[in-house]
Amino acid sequence: MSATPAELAPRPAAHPRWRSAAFGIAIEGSFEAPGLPAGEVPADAPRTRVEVVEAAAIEARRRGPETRLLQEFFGKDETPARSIDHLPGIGYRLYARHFGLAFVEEDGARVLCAPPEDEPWSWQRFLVGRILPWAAVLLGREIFHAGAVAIDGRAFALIGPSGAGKSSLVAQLVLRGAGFVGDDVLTIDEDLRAHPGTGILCMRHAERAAMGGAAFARVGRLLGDSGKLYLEIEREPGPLPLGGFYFVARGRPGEAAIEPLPAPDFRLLLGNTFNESIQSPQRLRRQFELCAELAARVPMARVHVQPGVSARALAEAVHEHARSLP
Amino acid sequence: MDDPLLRARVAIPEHVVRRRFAEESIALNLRTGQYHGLNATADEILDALAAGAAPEQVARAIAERTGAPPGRVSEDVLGLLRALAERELVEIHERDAG
Repeated sequence: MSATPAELAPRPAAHPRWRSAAFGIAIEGSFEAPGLPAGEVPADAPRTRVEVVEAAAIEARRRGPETRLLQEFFGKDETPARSIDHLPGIGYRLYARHFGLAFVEEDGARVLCAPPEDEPWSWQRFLVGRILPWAAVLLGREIFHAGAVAIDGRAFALIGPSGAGKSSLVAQLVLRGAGFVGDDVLTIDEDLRAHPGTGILCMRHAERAAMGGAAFARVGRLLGDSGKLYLEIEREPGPLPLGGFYFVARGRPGEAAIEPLPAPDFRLLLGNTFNESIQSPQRLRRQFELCAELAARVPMARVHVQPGVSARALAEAVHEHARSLP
Repeated sequence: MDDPLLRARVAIPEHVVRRRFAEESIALNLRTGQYHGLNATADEILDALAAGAAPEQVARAIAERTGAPPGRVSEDVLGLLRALAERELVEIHERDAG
């Protein structure tokens, strides 16, 4: 018989216990976590506790007949690179090659991580990019694949496919004085406020080269390089009203840099929500109603990334447009 | 056309959430997790049915307003109703006598 999560023994705490907030939830842990600075957390925020445990403890949650495989991705060598299992009533088991195993209890209130021996910034890419957002959804938050910056006290979300230039745009906006809200994982609550993610921005080498070393160093502190560069950035301290959405995509020469969307398609938002695997009626309703509210009330525009137009020039256009929005 | 479905009572079940957008409305079936787009005409028909009108009343009103042949409009309304029922977006009940 396999162990229950409550029986899984944590590794001895190597760091003092800390509390931080990200993705609209309060997080408690006792390990080094760049991007999750300790601080005050809102008293009414849903809470999760993250513990680092031995891999064997999570392995004990083996797939059984009741277990449902939600996602499985294979690498080029045809071995599983990532998988997610649901153990109904108990929780979710998440695996990612190079990042280890994690277990998120059914209600999101407790997270167990069994990382490989690696630098914290490295294995925690899985923690902050997948595991904590998963817990946040279980705790009742709604999350979008979006970066975000703060301009004049409002948050502006940047949505787009991988490689569209979102991170460059975020970095350039930060250099222009915008606050950093998050990179690729953005929580928006029912009051249409954007909650900061972790204080880490991921950029490609090509983006750094285009930006120049001096500007890159002003964006944040380099944590490490895993083929992409990870920067620690000071983030906004709390939630901000959402001022607009920008959908970033490759444009054609001659197109306007910014094209307002007077009647935005609800599916633009729905298609960029995080975690299509959790489909309880409550979650589906929450997601649907939030997307509908956002489509009705929050200004949206397309940002066309045109050949020959620098991220800096585009950031200037976005900055000015964001400031002009009512 | 004398299909008993024309006199049915139609209800939107609790597991269906519907929101109207600029050019369409979207219905979400919370049981299946599937989203369904409805154009303006389908949305108008569903609104009228959900408000208590019988399909034949809805068809008659549309035929009068648009000038389309009543028989064809009735067929279209019933076709929509069957499609909605198949997707569990509506419940169809016999109308109480009297």
